[in-house]
Amino acid sequence: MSVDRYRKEVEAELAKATAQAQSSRRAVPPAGRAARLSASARANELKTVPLDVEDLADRVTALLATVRDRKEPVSVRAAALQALSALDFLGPRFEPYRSDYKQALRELTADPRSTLRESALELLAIHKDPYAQGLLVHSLEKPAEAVVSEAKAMQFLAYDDHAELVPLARRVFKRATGAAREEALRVLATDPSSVKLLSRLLKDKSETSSIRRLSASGLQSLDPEVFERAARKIVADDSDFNDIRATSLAALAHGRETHDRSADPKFVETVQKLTTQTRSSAVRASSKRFLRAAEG
Amino acid sequence: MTVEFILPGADAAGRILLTWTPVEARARLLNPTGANDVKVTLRNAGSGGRVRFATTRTHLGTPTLQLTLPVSGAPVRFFVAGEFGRPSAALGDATIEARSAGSLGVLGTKPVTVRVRKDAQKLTPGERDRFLSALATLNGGGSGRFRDFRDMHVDAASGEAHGNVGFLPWHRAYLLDLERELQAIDASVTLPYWRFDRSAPNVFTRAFMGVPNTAGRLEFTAGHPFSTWRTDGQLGISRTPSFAANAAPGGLLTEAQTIALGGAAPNASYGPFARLEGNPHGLAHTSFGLGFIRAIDTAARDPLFFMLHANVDRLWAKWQWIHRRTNPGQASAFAPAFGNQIGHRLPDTMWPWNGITGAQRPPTAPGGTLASSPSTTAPGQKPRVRAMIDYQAVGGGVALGFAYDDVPFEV
Repeated sequence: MSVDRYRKEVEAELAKATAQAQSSRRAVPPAGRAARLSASARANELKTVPLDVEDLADRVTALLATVRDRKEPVSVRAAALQALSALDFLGPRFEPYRSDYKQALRELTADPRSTLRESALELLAIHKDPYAQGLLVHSLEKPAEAVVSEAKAMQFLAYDDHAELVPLARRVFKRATGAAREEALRVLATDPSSVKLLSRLLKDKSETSSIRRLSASGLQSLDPEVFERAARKIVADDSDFNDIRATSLAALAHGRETHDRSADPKFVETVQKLTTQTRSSAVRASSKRFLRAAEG
Repeated sequence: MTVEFILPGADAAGRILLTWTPVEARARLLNPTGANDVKVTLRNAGSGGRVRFATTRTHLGTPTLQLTLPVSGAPVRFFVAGEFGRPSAALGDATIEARSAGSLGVLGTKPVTVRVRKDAQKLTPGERDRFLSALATLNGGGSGRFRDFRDMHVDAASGEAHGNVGFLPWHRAYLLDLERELQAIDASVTLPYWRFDRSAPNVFTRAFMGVPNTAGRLEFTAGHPFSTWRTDGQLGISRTPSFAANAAPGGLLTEAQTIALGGAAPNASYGPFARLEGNPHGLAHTSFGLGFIRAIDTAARDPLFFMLHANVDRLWAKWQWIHRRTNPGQASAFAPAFGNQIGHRLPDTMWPWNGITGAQRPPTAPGGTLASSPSTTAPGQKPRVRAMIDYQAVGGGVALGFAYDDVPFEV
């Protein structure tokens, strides 16, 4: 492609976009504009206003007021929250406003709108906010008073890898089903005392594939040797589910096994056979990936 | 009689990896027959990527080039670069061929690769899978070298990389460091970019960047390299978009609007352009209702983060190209750091690659020096902000060894 011709094309596109932007700015007079816009248009405008250094204080004040205003449509408040959390990416430049922002997030944890509540709780949990962590623990201990689902509570608490969550996760794992049980297992998968549990779950064909995949991943980290033994058996077992066999191969391809190929040439042979014999495209693709990694 | 090509920057396997930046090469006769110099035509003979030739360092290369090679075997200089718009899809799928002007036929060939960063939406399945596999290998189930990249992009170091004019150069170095680590695993890999101002239905799939379940955890196809992804003790990736998989996130500035932030030609300036740190950069991060990618401290746990930043970097690259702002000595190509902040001024070395800790820098410097590349010596192990500006070496010198599929080299 001619670079000169390409330049002309791009310059024309930019000129057109600039003209359109100027035209749309002229179309709506600024006075009383916000009141006339629909909720979605207002939400969009909240996000698209440029973030000038000079007016950052005014912008943050206005966005905080909007996000707190329960009379505003939820889409407008969510847009304000999105813009605020985008400003948080300015790092040191956002520092003067961070405590006000955090306070607003804490207020949102009691908001009737679940999307705002969840969003605020996650942002606080990422920053290991003790107030939010307290609410999340309370949600798991007293489900009737929960501010978010069990799954979300467990997930958000796990942002703090220093939190002592294992006993709580064990209780949730025993009583819960579905996503909450999986989230609890993710926490347990960080605990060295879970090796037996993970090993059992990985081998248990009656468990869901999600639980078995999580067990594989957790076990690989906690006890690579136990994982590799179990994974090799699963890969070689024609009667096991193909998605678990493919996942086991993927984990082996990107883990320790590939660095020690000579230790188990029989297994490599098994995988080589799989590339031609299996009917599962996932197992075939994972087998090829494993062999490539092993060769490398 | 054969023609030998001598190109700089071969990797350990002898592979030549080109971008759009012309490199100085040589051709010479080996075992010549007869007493006369030999006229040859250089041309493309590959099935994938294509190259252009020239006798000077220019973007105006041609698909063929005639050279007269002395019978003495003395080398003849020429320049070769990837043909803009025709990158490789696999290693060595571009070939330089020397064909005799007479009846001697093909006297020499040299496979090369035109390796550039591409739109993630348009990757071939092979390109996609090689990228995913290399990244999963680098992560090594949570215990691999990828850990360093996680530790570089954290709240405690946010001042090194955010909220000031060094935002773009720092992230350029960061992506380059990661990309070189991936290329050490698989030389064909480049970082794809996520064009967040367009819909990317091929990206938000189980085969690529995953699809969230009801708890916001990503699900992948069976055997996907990320199916056992683990970072910082967390299994899996949390990410729930606020937009449909077949739509673009709302509210983000388009590419044209972003480029316009810096002002119109001929007065376009880096200072106002760098406002892209808020929109579209920040808003792209927060266009997900839930997930790691929404906060500085956790964003790098999610592989999509690197594709998002590759697009931010591409936008800078495109602005640099369209407004010819690649000379770091040019006032409009960069801007003074707010508060004279160290790490954000042109001559400053950047953390963590400089290894400096304490005082005005973070307490630790994970990852060591910036990864080297067989293709180039730039920007060195401890890059300075200045070294990130002219990444294609438009003004001469040594290029950083990466390029984008839609941002050409132009002198």
